[in-house]
Amino acid sequence: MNPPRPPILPRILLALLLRREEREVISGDLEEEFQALVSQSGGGSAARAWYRRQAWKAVGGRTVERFRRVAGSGGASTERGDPGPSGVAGPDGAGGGTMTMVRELLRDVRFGVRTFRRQPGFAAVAALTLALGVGATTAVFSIVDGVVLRPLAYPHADRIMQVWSGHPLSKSTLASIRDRVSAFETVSGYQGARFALTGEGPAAEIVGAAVAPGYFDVIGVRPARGRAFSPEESKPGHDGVAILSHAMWVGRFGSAPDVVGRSIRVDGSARTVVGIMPAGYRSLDPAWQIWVPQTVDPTNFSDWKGTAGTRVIARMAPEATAEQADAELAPIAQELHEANADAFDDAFVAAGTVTPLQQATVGSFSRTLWILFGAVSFVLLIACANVANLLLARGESRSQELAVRRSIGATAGRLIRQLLAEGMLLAVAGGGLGCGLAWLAIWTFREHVPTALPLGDRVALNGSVLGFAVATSLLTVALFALWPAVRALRPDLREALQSAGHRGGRRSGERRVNRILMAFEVALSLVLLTGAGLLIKSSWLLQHVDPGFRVDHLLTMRVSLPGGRYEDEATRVSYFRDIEERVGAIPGVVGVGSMSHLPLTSGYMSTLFTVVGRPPREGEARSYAMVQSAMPGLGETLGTRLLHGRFLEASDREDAPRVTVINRALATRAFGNDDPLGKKIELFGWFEATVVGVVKDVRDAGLDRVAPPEAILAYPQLSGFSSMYVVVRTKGDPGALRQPVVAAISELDRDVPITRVTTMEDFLRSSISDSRLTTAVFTLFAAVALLLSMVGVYGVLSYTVSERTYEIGVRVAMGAGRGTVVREIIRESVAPVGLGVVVGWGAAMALSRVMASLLFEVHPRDPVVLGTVTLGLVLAAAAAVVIPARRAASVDPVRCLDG
Amino acid sequence: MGRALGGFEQTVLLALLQLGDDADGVSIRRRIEARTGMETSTGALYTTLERLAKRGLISFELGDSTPERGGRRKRRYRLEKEGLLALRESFTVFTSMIRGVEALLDLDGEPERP
Repeated sequence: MNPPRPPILPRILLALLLRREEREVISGDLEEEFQALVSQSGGGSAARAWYRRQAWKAVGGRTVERFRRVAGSGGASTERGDPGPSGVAGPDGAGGGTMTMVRELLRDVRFGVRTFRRQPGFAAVAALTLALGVGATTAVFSIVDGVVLRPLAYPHADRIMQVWSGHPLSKSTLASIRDRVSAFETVSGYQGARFALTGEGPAAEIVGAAVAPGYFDVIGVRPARGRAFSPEESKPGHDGVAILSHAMWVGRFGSAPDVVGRSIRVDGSARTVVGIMPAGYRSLDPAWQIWVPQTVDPTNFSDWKGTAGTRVIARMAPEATAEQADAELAPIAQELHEANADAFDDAFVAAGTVTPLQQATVGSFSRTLWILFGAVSFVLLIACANVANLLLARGESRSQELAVRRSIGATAGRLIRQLLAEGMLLAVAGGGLGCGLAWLAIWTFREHVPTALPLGDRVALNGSVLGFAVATSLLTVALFALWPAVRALRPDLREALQSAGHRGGRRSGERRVNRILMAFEVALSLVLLTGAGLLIKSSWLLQHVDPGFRVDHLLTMRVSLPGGRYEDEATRVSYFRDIEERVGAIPGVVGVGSMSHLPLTSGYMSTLFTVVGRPPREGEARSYAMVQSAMPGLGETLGTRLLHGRFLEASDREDAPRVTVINRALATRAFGNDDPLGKKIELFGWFEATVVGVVKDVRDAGLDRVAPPEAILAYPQLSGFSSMYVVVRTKGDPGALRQPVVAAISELDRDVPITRVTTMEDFLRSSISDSRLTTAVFTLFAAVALLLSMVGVYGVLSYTVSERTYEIGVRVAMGAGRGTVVREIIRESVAPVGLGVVVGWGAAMALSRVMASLLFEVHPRDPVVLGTVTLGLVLAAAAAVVIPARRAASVDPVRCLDG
Repeated sequence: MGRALGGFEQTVLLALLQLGDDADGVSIRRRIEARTGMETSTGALYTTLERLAKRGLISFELGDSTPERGGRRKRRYRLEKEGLLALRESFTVFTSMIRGVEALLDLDGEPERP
């Protein structure tokens, strides 16, 4: 278990802005008091607020003090009065040094504003470049902050762990974790589910969770009204209770005070509302509206041991550590592995066992986010390099001015402060604009994306995001303004004064810096372009995976049968037969089918299977198969390819012999090269079915996943599923039939909610929307990076040309060919671009491991991608080089020498 | 003797006098907060401590690091003779100036302090 840590941003500020000798003691003090506050108040939030306040004051006070010491050297004494901004006693009197400093600062700022107004183009380009960098970085940071950094709003959220995240477990495993692991204070579990709510207004499908006993203890939040579930209520037959979300209580029950105790109809059966969660409570999945007890029945083998669908969460005991939990869970992991080596493979046994709940909820997204954050930092660095280049060039042309001022007595500190004030102005303008851009980006994100990302609804432009923007802007000042300022002051006075009047070109040192920055930008752009190229290829491949069925001209929707009337199997089956009949009669409909699991989605149901007549040998791993229950006609409607035998048919009725159609993966797993037709498999430990057909694998678990072994059963013979997906194949545009199909189904029974009506093509697209989003954002960053760096290359060369106009004029007048001039300018860019490409390659190679996790069937060092990207970059660079080179060639020697 | 002590400087020196030789930043801050009831900024405290050290009124040495400080070391402060003299002078100035005007401060009008 990790001890609570002080908030990250203030910590970074302290580390950056305090002097080394005081950094250790001050942050040490703050840390010590923070820990004391945490253990006193029990909650981390008060301690964090205190820490934040103290850190800001410390950084502010100490920085002013330092600045005053630097600024006031030679001026009035600074040793007067208290520091002012925060001391309890308040300032004893404003020091004369402070006033001088403020006056000078204001003068510098006014001077800077005048300078920029004289060169509005320069100021605008620099501020916009910075705004792009700061804005993009801040926008991505806001997502990282909301999703990864900000802790979940549960008491001591850092002590809530998910056990084997990504591996749903059986109820029996949950029980043995509860019994055997002493590192956990409370253990519970949940299983997301959908419920049909009837009565009280129109039928609706709501999402929620079935939760094991102790769930609300683990989370640490109890219902605001009423009570949590008692352990008794997890026994079958005693589970007729429910807890509602605050939003549900307000939205559907109009905040009626008597809802607790009232009976509602969930999936057709009555449940008494026993509690309502608090208004501010944000469940693990923000869509959850209802919680019901998960029933536990150790006598039902399939429910107790055979089905793995429960996600186990636990609250650590006060003194326990994650290592202790790992050690206690290890034997259970070994047992799981021995029982089912398919689902719990060696990697499972080797991997860590407990993950902090937040990390588990966000899952692999946090990695993607950090990668995007890295990418956007590159964009920021390129922006800084560009502005540094601009300032460097400008500092060069101002070196005469600065030299003159120094020679008449200005101190170096005075001039540095003035240049810094100018940089600060740029940073304020760029940072302000950047915040605007970030706000726009965050607004767009909140409008369109949040549900696609776990915890995405917490993304906001808040204090820490703004703090980050300010810190980033300050950092950019340090990167782009300080360095040129110091350089601008170094010039030998005599040389600078002498060069007044004619411009014979710069010292070689300046050019070298320009070229290094150019190479740096090219290298960073190449890394980003490579990443974008890989993602685009990966995304393209993903979109062109053969899903195993015909995706076009399909309309799908979900119907959820409420209990009551539909608890009767025959009623359920005839309901779906009616759907087929009614929908099939709509003009333009070619075929209708129904199934329990929609392809391309994870979260399918799987169960143990055995081949009848061939009991598993000792030590042989047990095999799991995904179960799909379908109405006859599904195969033809989906357009799956039949390899052997037949599809399910209308004759596979309730009373007919039980049959199954299996996919190739299951055929290979169970029968190897033997002919599976006519053989029998056993599922759930009690359901025997004869194999009558083999179909090609359908990507049932997701486009990027290999199909699991799958058994398709006839719904009339296994009709336990109360919610099913109806698929309709149409002649024309499937979207056009949406309305008549939904109308036909709801005419059958208005109490059956019909949800998630979509065309299969849209559904397929949304199933890979994460990858498409990552690709789009990454590509956007790469494009901005390319644009910025090409502007940089262009700027440097343009400057070189304008600076060498005189020299070129002389040489052309003396008879040098224009071709020679052009070649020379181009040659000047070849080395830096080449160096940039080589360094960029190296960096892309080094970062390929990072990218690999985002890629689908693309090698992170894919030579085609790397080649294409390099070629594109070189072409873009060529375009950026040719324009200034042509200008050099068109220098008119007469006008140039005249002037 | 140098210039007179500022208000917060006096407060800090008095805290050191109370704490004896075992004073560090945390305990000084806590003592001031406990006695005055006002939240004190660590940054302001260190600014003042540094200034007092520069004037030779106090001295410090680096102490041990502890886990609750994230492994960072602390500074231990000590009141020097000079500091004691400065405090004494402040006190003398204060008491000689207050003599005869206590009534004007209307101390009795305030609620009694615990």
